[in-house]
Amino acid sequence: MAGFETTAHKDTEQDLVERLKKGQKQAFNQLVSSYQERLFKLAYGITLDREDSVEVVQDVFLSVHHHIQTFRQDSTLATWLRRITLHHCLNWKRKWKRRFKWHHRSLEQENDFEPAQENFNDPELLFREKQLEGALMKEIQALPEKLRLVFVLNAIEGLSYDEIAETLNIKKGTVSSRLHLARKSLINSLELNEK
Amino acid sequence: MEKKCDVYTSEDISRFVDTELSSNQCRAFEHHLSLCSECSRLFGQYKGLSLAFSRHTHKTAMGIATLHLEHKLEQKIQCPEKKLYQNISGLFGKNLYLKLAGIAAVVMIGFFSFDPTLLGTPSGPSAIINSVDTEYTSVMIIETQKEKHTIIWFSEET
Repeated sequence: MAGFETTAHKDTEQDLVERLKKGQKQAFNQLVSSYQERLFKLAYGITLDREDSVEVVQDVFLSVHHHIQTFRQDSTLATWLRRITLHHCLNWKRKWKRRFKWHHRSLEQENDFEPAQENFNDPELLFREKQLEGALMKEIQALPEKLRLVFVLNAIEGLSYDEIAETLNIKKGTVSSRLHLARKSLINSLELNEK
Repeated sequence: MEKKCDVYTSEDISRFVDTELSSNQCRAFEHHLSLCSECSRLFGQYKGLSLAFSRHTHKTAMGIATLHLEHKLEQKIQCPEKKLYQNISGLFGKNLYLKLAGIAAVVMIGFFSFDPTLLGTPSGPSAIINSVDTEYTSVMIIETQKEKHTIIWFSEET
């Protein structure tokens, strides 16, 4: 059954890529609606900025639109999109316009998200959850880029060590140690904050 | 004083969280977890980190995903930059002298606006001191390079 689903998925993806290569507008819209949420999560995990992640995802889709003919389908569409997103996220920081960005949005504002439905009736739990997430996001922001990338690919994309190693072109052992270091560093910082 | 487990390292626990241990190692560690409070605590913390981060990004992404991205991309794909360039290049029609005069005017304006001694006006901003964004307005306090003026820039969206 799983094999059948995988084959069916491949056929759908193959069809989508072919239609994209033909320049069909509907295919492009299908691509955007299918992958936007996933790419937003990845971009936000790395940039930790809502506006930046919107810009990055837009650039990723535009890049796909312009370069779909170069996609040889050696990997899946999702892997290709992930690579482009990572590339754009890492280059984003170096772009000149970022230096001139004047508006300020604090992390506290970013954390002003909707409450989780399951905790809606428990204000104390909700408060603690918000507090923890807010503190965690600050610490993640302070992580070195190398550690954060590995952590994001693991937590957001759910990639295995092998897949992360392939994506970032590093050794599997390096993935393990960086992920461990990221977790250790985050826990230490959060514990220090609590004291 | 923090207690440490003598059997497993924190990296082993990190690998267990990601199901990167072999099946034998996994079984042994699962058994160990029920006996070792330190490993159990660390396992819970490591697992909780990923869950909290994933939950936060999911909630944020759900908020972003309502921005009608398809429509925005469609507009961008229609090459607005190209249209802008076409409009500018066609600004003075086909007259070569008018085009040259236009370029000269732009250079002159640029020259005077960058050299404050020629016009006696303060030069452009050198630093942004502070900025505040609200739903309807934006205020920016800027310091100028030579005169040390503070300018408050204010806009109101309609």
